[in-house]
Formats: sequence, C-alpha cells, structure tokens
Amino acid sequence: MRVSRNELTASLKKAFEGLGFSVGDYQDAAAMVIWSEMHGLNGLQQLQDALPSLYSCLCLHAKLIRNDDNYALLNGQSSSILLCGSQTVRLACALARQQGSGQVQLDNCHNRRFIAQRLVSAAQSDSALVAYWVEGDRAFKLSVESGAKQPIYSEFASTAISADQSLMIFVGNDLAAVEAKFSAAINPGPPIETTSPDTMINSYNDMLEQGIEIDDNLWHELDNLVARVLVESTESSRAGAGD
Amino acid sequence: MRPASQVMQLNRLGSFHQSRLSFMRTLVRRMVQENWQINSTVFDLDTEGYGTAVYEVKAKYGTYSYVLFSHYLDPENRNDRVIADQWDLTMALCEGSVDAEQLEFLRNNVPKQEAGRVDSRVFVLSRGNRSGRTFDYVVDQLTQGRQPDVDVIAEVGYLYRTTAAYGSGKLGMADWEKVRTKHRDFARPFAAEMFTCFMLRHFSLQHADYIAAQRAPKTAVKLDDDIKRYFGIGNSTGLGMAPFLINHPLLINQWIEQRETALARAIMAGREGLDTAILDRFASGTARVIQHLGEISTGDTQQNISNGLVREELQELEHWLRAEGKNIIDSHYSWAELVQYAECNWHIETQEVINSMLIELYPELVDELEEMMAVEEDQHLVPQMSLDDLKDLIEDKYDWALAIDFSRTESQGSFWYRSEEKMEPRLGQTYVDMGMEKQMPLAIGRMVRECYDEICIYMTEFPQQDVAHFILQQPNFSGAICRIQTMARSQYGDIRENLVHSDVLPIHLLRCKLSFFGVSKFDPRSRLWVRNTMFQGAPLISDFGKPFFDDWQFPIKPVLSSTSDSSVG
Repeated sequence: MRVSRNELTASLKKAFEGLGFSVGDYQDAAAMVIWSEMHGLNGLQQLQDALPSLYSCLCLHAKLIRNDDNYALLNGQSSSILLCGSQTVRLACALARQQGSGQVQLDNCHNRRFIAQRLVSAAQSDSALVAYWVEGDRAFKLSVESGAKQPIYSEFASTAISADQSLMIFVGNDLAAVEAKFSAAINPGPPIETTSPDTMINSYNDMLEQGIEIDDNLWHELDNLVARVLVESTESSRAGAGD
Repeated sequence: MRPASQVMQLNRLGSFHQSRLSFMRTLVRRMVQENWQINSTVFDLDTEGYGTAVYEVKAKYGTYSYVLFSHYLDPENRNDRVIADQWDLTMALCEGSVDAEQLEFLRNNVPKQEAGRVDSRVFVLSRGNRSGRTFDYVVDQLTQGRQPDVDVIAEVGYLYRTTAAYGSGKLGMADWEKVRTKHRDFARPFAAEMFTCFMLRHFSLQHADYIAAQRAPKTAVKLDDDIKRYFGIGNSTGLGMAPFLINHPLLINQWIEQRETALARAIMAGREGLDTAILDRFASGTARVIQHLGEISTGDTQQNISNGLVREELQELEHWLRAEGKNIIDSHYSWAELVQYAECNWHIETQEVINSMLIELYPELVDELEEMMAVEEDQHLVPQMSLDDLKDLIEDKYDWALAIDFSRTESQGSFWYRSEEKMEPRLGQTYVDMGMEKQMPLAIGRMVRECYDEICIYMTEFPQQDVAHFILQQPNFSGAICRIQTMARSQYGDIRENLVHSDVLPIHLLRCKLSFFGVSKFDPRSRLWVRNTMFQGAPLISDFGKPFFDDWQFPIKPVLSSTSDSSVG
C-alpha cells in the first residue's frame, strides 16, 4: 500500500511513542526513518529489521565516557541510533562551535544508517558534517556540506575491523576543512558505490508525488504500536469529547 | 505590534474574529478575481437527490475535480461527531480530471471516509450532514413556489454542515508539500480544505433547487441569489482541532504575526488623524457587526451574554462615531487612541472585533500579507548554547509558565489523550478518567517548568556546561529544549495558558483556529465543541469574474430586491 509522508510521520511518531520513546526522541526517530526511505536509502526496510530489537530495548541513550577538548567518546549501550543519533550529532556540533571542529565516537550502537537525516538537519545550522562507520567488509560515509539538503553517501570496501558497532561523527565549518582535518580517519580510498544528491532528490520527489510504498505487514505492525498510546473508549471518556 | 504577553492569552485568542487574512476571505478573493470556472460535468442524482456529482474546476494554474456522493441517511444515524460512520454527503477534491475508473475508485472509498483509502491525486476528503431545521423547510418552500423566510434561515444559516475536512496527506492523500509546491492555486494553508467547504455550499444550494424542481417541476422556483448568498455551510468543530495549535507553534506564530502586522499597519495608517470617508466606513462596519451579532442564534448562555455585551459596547462606539464625527476628525484622533480606549473600557471580544474592523479598512496595506501565512515548521535545537543562557531565555520568554504553581491540584486537573475511537483527542479528568499514563504532551507550561527545574539542579554541579552535555545527562528534555529555543526566536506561537488546568476552556483554542479559517456565528455546544458558519454572505460561483468589493464579513440578513418577488409562483 501507499501512504503519504505526513501520514507515515504521524504513524511513526505514535509507534515510537508506543515503544517508549519520549517527546523529542519520537519526532527525531520518525524523521530519520522517513528521510532514509524517501531519499532511497530503504528506511522502512531498515526499520523492519530494527523493530525486533526495539521491542525489547529499554530506550537507553548514549552515555558520555570521555570528553577532551574537541573529542568525545560515547557509549550507545547497545541502543539504536534512533535514540542516540540526535545526542551524538548535537554533541559533535557543540564541540565544533566551541573548538573549531568536533569529533565524536559513538560505540556500541545499532541502525547507524539512519544517521543521515540528523546530519542534514544539523547542516542547516552552518555546520559541515561527515559520518563514518564500518559494517562487516563495508565502510560507509555520509558527507553533508554546510547548508546542503542532501548528503553524499558512499560505500567502500573495508579491511578494517569494526570497533564495537562504532560511528564516527566529524564536524567543522565546511566540508573541505572537515575532510582535511580528519583525513586519516575518513579516507578509506575510492568508493565502490556512491549515491548522489540528485539521485536522492529524484527519489524524494517521486515519493512525494506518488506516495510511499509500505509493506502491509509493517503498516499493520505500526498500527499495533500506535494502539499502545490510545486509550480505551468508554461512555465516560466520550464525555471528554463533548458528548 | 502587540506583545505576546497580551496577544497569546487563551481568552484573547478565543475572542478573535475573522479578518481579511482569514483563509476563506483570501480564497474567495482569489476565486473571484481570477474568475475560476466551475462546472458540473456529472450531475447524476435521482429524484430524491441521491447520486453522484462531479464538478470540473478550472483555476488560474490548474484543473481540479470536486467529486461528491449523496446518500440516503436515516436521521437516527445523523451524527456530527468524528466517531460517526455515515453521512448525507461525502466528497473529495482531486487534482486534474477524473475518469470513469478513478470515479469508481472514489465511489468505493470516499463514502467510507476514515475507513477508506484514497491516493495522492486527492487533496481533501470531507463530509456533510443536512440541517434538520432548514433543509426540508427550504425545499418545501421552493416546491410550493415560495422563497424561504429569511428569518428562518437566519436561525441556522446553512443547509448542510461539514463535520470534518481532511487534507495534508491523511488517508493516503497528497502531502501538503506536494500541494504547496505543485498546485499554486491551493498553495496557502487550508486553501484546499476551505475550497472543499465552499463547493459543499454551492452543491447544497443546487441540491435544494434540484430536489424542489424534481418534486414540482411546474411550480417550483429556484432560490433567490440574495438568499443564496446568505446561506453558508455549517461546521461542527470539536477537540480534534485543539492539539493542532499546540503542535504547530511556528505556523500559529506566522498566522498571528501576520494578523498583528495587519493591525499595526491599520493603526499606523490612522496615526495622524482620520478622514470622513474612512470614519464613515468604520461607522457602517460597526453598525453591521451590531446587526450581525443581534442575528446570531445560540442556546449557549455565556455566548449570548458575550454577544449582548459586545453589541452594547459597539452601540456606544457607533453612537460616538456618528455624534462626534467632525470632532474626531478635527482633533486628529487616531486609531491607536481608540484601541487604547477599548482595551481600558471594553471587553476583550469587543476589542478584537474592533481590531478586525480596523484591518478591514486598509486592504491596500493588508492583503499582501495573505501570501505570508505559510512557513517551514522545522524546530532546531542549539546544542552549543550555555545552560546559563538557556536558563535566562526560559525566565525571559516563558515567565508565564514559571508563574504557574503546578503543585496545586487544579493545575494538573486535566489531561489530554487520544481515544481508540478514530484517535479522537479527548480531555480527561486527572485521577478520575483512564489514560493519564498515555497523555499527549500538550502541557507546554508544565514541560517548560520541569525542564527549567532540571537545568537548575544540573547547574549546581556543572554551572559552565552547555545544552549538548545536559541532554546527554537528561535526554528526555531534548524535545522541550528544542521547542523552547525555536520558539524563543519567534514572537508569538506558544499559548500562554496552562492547558491541563481543571478549568481549561478548550473552546478558545477552537475559536482561535476557526477565526483564521474565517468562520462566523460561533455557537458553543459545550466547552469542548462549537458550531459555526462558513462562507455565509460570500459571493456565489455565478458572481466570479464580476466587479467585486470584498466585504462579506459579518454577514447580515439580506434585504430582498423586488426581483425576488417575481421569482415566486
């Protein structure tokens, strides 16, 4: 079935609320999923894959382990980037504002591909950002220029060993400066696949025009999560609606 | 412009009236001036008026279809509440022309409303119920060759009332962003929804004429055009509208800022005195509002008292304008002085009526603001802000929230929640009704208070720290801080009221939003829902393209011309 963006946003917000996400978190999580889906990064498939662990998660956020000047280390406590992503990017941006550049390493965190929307959102506040992580034999890099609405998304062959589900965020005033400053950490060689901003824009426009295709089972699963935030209707409760 | 501390009080917002910037007014201006061509391509109704109608709408930038289904409805099942599942009329506004296949698809889904699914070719889905008091009466009169009595019409003001108009992507429809970017004719907030209601009004008038003609082909007459203009569309609005105002603070800020800008421009225009022409128009406008308020029929005691008080105060104003007109002009009296006098001496509702009337006087200064009613609604958190600055900001911008004593039982006597019945928002009584643990986060004042208290505690240990580090420690406050920082950059937006107080009056929220829609004749049915009238007094489709003076606000009973008599019999 096809749903609209607004409809999916409303459903996801309530579904995440049903999973125990708090105000702020459920808006951010919904935005991350929808952004990924509409820009062609399979956000709904990722969500479907993530849901089993989200059902049992305790809605933990990232914990600060260390903070030295422009570097911080966070522990994601085996949680999802849907819960830790905003904190991580915001900390990196704050460090960059104070120190000229910021680098945050988030360890032990899942569903890292969802981070794209958080980067784009932060880029609207005069920051350039790069996210980098390794999954199996692939490395992934998302780069957003300051003020840009789409990132460049690249995949690389990686021989590096993934350090505990880590995600690195680098922030500076412009992308060239960020790439230069952190080149040792984020220059894994030529990409084997790149998704350009134009591809993402086309995907977004198509879905805006036609609606977003969603698997019936996932939609039904979201409905069940939404039901968690609804209150049983009684004669008494109808009085609270004006009867 | 007026400060938020004055404008954003809930009882003042609940006293707003429509203005030139209201969405119905701007839509009508656009349709008439651009001479939109609206014709029925299908009018397939049986003799009782049940069937299908399709109208093709040729606007300035595009073609659209308004598709309507008329069904028999047992009066026993006629229910205005959101939870209803049958209606007299159901309708959809679609992009482009509708072919047979799409019409069949719509026929299978539109009558089901929330229980159906449509697609992104549809902008708006709506429904309407007949007025038990007027529809049969009007049809009977027409059938007998007579025009209906205007006094009877005035009691209600419409033949049908709509109980919901869904847009913005609900039920598979087109997203607002698609409508805004692709269809300029409807690229203003709620323009497509308002148009759908306008078309319902058009159909309702055509429907009455049609049924009367079917019943008595030889004797029936058509409704007189002046009477037609006096018919609007009824509307029932309940709590479903209330959370919108809290959840869209940047949009509300934009609407109110434009209205306040319009008012400031009007006041400035009269800063060095007034002339006879403008004073005459103002006096005539005042007389008209007095009559309008006197013609409102409501069973709500409080609304009746309020209408009476506003009338008395406006009569005082009109008398003064008529008696002192020359002195007012000679003394270089300004609108600012009148506004100040009203604020010191008259009720808030009178003040806001006067403000709407002042805005009305200066279309050349005001109308351009209609293009400024939409806004990007992204909220942004500023992570590098020091907690010291954030604390100062809360104390400065949210002093109203910090002034509320939430330790008092009544301060948290209510809670808002979504019912499992169509997710309808409802208001519960704390510790009495079920669902407190699932309440919606609409208590902005309490949220700010809790956030502020946590910041103060955290700062005792980390006085130099920033927001980013605070939300690492207290992640559940990221939403609150994001809103606080965002709204601090705008002048209006947050309603300065404890919305979970046991005595909260949600009807003020409804009235505020409805005033921006442009409705009139508020008829509260309880503190939780209100009936009102849309498009009463507005031009008819047959008026499009003709010379038009946009003055259909505060509608009053028509004085029928002699030609109306000739149509009888």
